[in-house]
Amino acid sequence: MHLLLNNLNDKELLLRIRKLQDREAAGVLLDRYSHLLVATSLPRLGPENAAEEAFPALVRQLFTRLQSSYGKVSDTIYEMVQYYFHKGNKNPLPYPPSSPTAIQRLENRVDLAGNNPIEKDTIASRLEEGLNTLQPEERQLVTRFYLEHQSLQELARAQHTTTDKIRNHLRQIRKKLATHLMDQRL
Amino acid sequence: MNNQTPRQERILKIFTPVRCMNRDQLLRYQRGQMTAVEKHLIEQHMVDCDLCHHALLALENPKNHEPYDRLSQQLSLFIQREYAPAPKQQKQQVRPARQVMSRESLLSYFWVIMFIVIGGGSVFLLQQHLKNRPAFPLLPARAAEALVIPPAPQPAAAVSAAPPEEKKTTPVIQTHYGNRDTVQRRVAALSAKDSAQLKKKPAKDTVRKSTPDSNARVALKAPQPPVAKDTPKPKTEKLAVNTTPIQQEQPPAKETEEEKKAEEAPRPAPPVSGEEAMYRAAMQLKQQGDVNGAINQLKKLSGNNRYEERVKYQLAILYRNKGQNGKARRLLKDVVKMDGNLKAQAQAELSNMN
Repeated sequence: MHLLLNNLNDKELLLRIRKLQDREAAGVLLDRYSHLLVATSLPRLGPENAAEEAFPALVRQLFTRLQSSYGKVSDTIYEMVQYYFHKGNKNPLPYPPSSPTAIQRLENRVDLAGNNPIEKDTIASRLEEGLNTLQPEERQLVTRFYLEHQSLQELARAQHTTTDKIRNHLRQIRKKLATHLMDQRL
Repeated sequence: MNNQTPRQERILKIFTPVRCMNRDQLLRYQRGQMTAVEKHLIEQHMVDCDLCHHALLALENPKNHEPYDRLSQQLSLFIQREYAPAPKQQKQQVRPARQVMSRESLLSYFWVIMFIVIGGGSVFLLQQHLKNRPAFPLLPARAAEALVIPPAPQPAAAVSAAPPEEKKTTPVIQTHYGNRDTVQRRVAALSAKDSAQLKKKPAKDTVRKSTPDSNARVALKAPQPPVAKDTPKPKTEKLAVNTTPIQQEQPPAKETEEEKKAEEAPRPAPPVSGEEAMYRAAMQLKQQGDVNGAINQLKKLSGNNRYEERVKYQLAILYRNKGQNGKARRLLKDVVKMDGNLKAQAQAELSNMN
């Protein structure tokens, strides 16, 4: 059963956790992200937040959270880590958004398009139209990163900035493009 | 680089979802051991994934490498231990449920079987009850179906000595047991001639009179072999004289011949019927001296074809005793016209009356 669950993707495991209250599926999902949880939490661990107490508590809270989660698991884990180490347990954790964001909708549509050429052509043409609405600098950055496959470090070196700034810039452009396409009812 | 693909394919990568890095990919990216394609794919994912981005930032510090390895292993083991299925507990939870199910199914089978057994038993008992229920409610129907006229009327006194076929009709025959005294009284009231005739055969009467009720009942109850038609009748058959008129002046030899003829006639097993009971009740009243009651009883049977001859004969005897010779003569003539078993007796009575 454990091996079969390992072959499922995040959406299918979340569905089992929500519908069937499957603890084993939750264990597989949490184990899949445990190394990222540890790596993200490492700079925040200290004498106040010992690893022996913090990780079991985080895992229990994550299990509770995943039973009503619809978005990305990585986002949920990051929010939980941020909440646990920065704000503590005083304030309740905000509920996840009930409706998917514009980026998630677009990603789902591209994922569902799969090998359908008509759907792919439709989305690609809309994306071209969306890229034309961007500013030249933004369109150039997107073109270099996604179409010309330049790495973040190369872009940062070319623009004399850090990779974090390039990443944040790309992220903003992506969000702007997704919102524009959702407004165009793609 | 993967720039050979068409632009439409590449532009879709802006929003193509990419999975988070696994343990191997995280370490290889940190160590710079990835291909350009794979590295760019991870970077595409890191643009949108804060978790992976902050994990990589944390692992850039070499101090965190050792605690990362240790803690990630411990956390993985903790999660596997905490969220692993507990087979023993599940089996313990399943077993009681199965036991309860088996008990419920056994109980349901038991009650179904009990219902079938009780229902079948009740139906069987009802059938047995309907088969063996008393014949009283069915008497009129059976009388109409199986009424058989005995060949000659027999008085109550002779019934006790009747063949066993007649003794089987217990409900009617038992009424005669209590009439033994009346018979004795009637015998005592006979005329001098009759008494003289009776004195000629004292042994026969004494034999009959000395027979106790208990013996008669035993004889009734005990199965007796059927009497052959040609065998000589026992002494008690002489009592059949009583079937003839009481003050009969015929020689006994003639009576015996007539009675033998009557006895020789085939006697089907007389079923107990209402009409036969009425006839016997009339004979009983006649023996008790209640002439009017006997006449009324016989008049009720006058419409019955099977009993008509005997009824008319007995009515004629009763009217003669009563002194109404005209009616008696007319009835005796009717009996002679019927040309039945009692024709000879009726002619003899007519000749006596004349």
